[in-house]
Amino acid sequence: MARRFLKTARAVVVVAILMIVTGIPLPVLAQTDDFSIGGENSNFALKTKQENAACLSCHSEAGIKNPPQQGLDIAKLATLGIDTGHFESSVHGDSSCKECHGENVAAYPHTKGPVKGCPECHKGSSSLIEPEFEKSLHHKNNPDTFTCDSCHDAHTIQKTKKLGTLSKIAAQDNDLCLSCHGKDSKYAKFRDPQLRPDMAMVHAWLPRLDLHWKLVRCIDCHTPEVEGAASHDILPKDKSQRHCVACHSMDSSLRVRLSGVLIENEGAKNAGFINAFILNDAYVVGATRNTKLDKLGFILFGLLVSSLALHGVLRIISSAWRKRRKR
Amino acid sequence: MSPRVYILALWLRLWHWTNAFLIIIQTITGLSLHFARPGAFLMDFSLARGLHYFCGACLCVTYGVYVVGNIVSGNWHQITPTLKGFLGRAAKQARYYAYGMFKGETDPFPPTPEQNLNPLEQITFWILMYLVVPVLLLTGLMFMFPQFTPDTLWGVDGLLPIAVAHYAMAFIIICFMALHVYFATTGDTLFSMVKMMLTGWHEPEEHP
Ligand code: HEC
Ligand code: HEC
Ligand code: HEC
Ligand code: HEC
Ligand code: HEC
Ligand code: HEC
Ligand code: HEC
Repeated sequence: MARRFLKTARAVVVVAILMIVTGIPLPVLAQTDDFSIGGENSNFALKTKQENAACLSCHSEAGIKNPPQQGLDIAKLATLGIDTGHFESSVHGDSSCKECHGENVAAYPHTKGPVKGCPECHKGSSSLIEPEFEKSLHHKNNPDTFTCDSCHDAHTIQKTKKLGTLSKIAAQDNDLCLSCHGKDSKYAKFRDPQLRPDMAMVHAWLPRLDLHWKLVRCIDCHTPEVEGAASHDILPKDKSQRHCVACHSMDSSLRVRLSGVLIENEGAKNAGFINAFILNDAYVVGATRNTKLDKLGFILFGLLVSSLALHGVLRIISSAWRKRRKR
Repeated sequence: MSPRVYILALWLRLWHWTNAFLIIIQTITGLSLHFARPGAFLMDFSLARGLHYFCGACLCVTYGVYVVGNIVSGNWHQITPTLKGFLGRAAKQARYYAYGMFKGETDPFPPTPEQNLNPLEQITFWILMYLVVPVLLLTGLMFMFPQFTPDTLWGVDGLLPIAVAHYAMAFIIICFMALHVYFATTGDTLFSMVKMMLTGWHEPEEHP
């Protein structure tokens, strides 16, 4: 038993040395290589890139202008372009088009086929997302038509954490909502666009809309407060947040809501600022004050008032004393 | 008893009390915004925000009135300390506050039409009106119109240094108010200076 093991081990070592010397790849290693999705130079990633490039030779701006073959329905293709740059930097940039679109688009000509639903791959992370989504008012009011990709564009979505700043996160997240609530074309798929409420009017009670839109996400007011990942449970309007101090205070709700995607700005935090993670983007009255400065202020003001009080007492005593001496 | 003298012009008195009113509002609303918390600190956040913006804009106007009024009426020379011998005069006034006042001495620089402020008042008002208040108003305006502030300063949002400066200037003014109210009682009688600020007349009285 042991002798046989030793023999095999020796053989493996000899073969391995031979392979390293001759440069012939180990079949086993080559196979694991296929699974390592991250490696830029790995065969798998290379294959995906080449496959995707084939699709993008038609389904991109360049492809629409300059299609690789004659006789295509260019007018139709013009509506089917993918933003190449955004796709590659997106969370699905390393996925193959065919993984989602299936084999029926592998060769041209092709038409729309079944697309893999988000939860099919996102079982883990969507364990929370799906039930939340099912509670959301959009889904309840439009159970069959409102889906994940009513909001999300699978080709352009960026990892929230990677965006890094509040303004970029707000821009990406709010664009999702405004793709319907800011434009008639997509809204019309669900309701009469004439009835689309004007966002500035609906939120007229909120001052400085221009500023708020830049750093506050629609979901910061329209979903319940959840630690970490944002909630997908869009609430009806009467349950939406309208209290200024929910955000403009020490225990700002923004802190909880953004805890998963932004970390505290350590330098500013050590200097005494609370909710310092917002400071890279804005000073938010009530939420980002400096508690060390506040304490210093209280002490100085206290000292001033007590010395004035002391002066006053001395004045009263000395004046009484002078009066008595006169008499 | 010396005769009474007219010292403070009507525009100056109107300005003074308008300013005082606005600054008290700004203090209350400003504190409510800064220390905002659920259930309101002093005043509802939304209301405080509206008032703070409105009264802030009013303060900019009254400041303009003050500067123009000062130039037109020549009042600016009242709050501009004469440099020659200033330190000596300031020391004399400080000695009076720290010591002479308790001994029943008379004010070394009583208000006259030519010189209605003592040297310490002059230097304080000058710094306040020509340094602190302009910075306060400017940073306040930058808060209102953030498009004029740089996007980032020292690696943080450009509004942060503005906010801290606004806060520091407001703190100085709050301290000044405490001092001002207290020293307003150091006239010939407790209320003689307040009376002068209301009527414009200085009425010297027998020292208590
Ligand atoms: C030679 C050009 C060409 C190539 C290469 C190509 N497509 Fe297409 N594709 C088209 C055209 C043209 C249509 C519109 C067909 C029609 O509806 O008549 C289309 C339609 C589609 C549709 C359906 C869109 C809809 O909503 O109707 C999908 C999805 C699609 N392509 C995906 C892909 C994928 C994935 C690849 C790569 C595996 C790919 N295509 C490669 C030209 C191409
Ligand atoms: C993560 C999954 C996923 C990947 C990867 C993916 N798509 Fe899609 N794609 C979708 C979904 C979801 C839709 C929307 C389907 C619908 O409307 O029913 C879609 C729609 C499309 C459409 C229709 C037009 C449009 O913009 O709505 C085209 C064309 C298309 N994809 C091409 C591609 C190409 C080319 C690639 C690779 C470069 C690709 N897709 C990669 C999920 C994916
Ligand atoms: C073919 C499988 C597949 C499908 C279908 C799919 N995804 Fe993904 N998705 C992935 C992979 C792989 C990643 C990369 C995971 C990572 O980087 O951690 C990813 C990442 C993401 C991320 C970033 C996750 C994070 O933690 O930030 C989001 C958001 C996302 N997908 C949304 C969607 C949505 C919305 C749909 C439906 C339109 C969808 N995905 C469909 C495979 C898929
Ligand atoms: C009403 C619009 C809307 C719908 C519908 C929607 N989402 Fe989202 N989703 C968002 C927004 C907004 C975010 C950004 C949250 C954030 O900044 O972390 C997001 C984020 C995500 C993320 C990334 C979370 C992270 O940590 O970055 C995933 C994954 C995701 N959605 C999956 C889904 C799935 C799966 C569905 C369908 C069951 C779905 N979404 C439906 C609006 C929507
Ligand atoms: C695909 C289009 C679409 C997108 C994307 C979308 N909505 Fe909506 N939304 C609608 C439609 C249509 C209605 C009105 C009809 C209804 O009740 O479903 C609506 C209604 C609402 C309402 C009003 C609820 C009420 O009580 O009347 C709120 C709040 C809302 N959406 C918030 C959001 C937020 C926040 C997002 C982004 C995370 C978003 N929506 C994204 C289509 C959309
Ligand atoms: C500061 C909190 C806040 C933010 C940020 C916010 N909303 Fe609202 N929104 C509300 C409140 C509160 C209401 C209810 C207003 C009412 O009933 O008068 C509302 C109402 C709505 C409605 C219902 C309109 C109607 O009358 O049917 C829609 C749709 C909506 N918001 C979408 C959005 C979108 C899209 C965004 C992001 C661009 C957004 N909201 C950002 C607080 C907010
Ligand atoms: C969802 C969180 C949230 C709510 C609710 C909210 N704000 Fe804000 N507010 C912010 C953020 C974040 C900024 C910083 C925006 C920027 O600088 O672009 C801000 C900025 C402001 C500003 C500009 C001055 C400054 O701090 O930079 C004012 C004024 C303001 N808010 C007042 C209000 C009032 C009044 C209400 C209630 C009616 C309110 N806000 C509700 C988050 C919120």
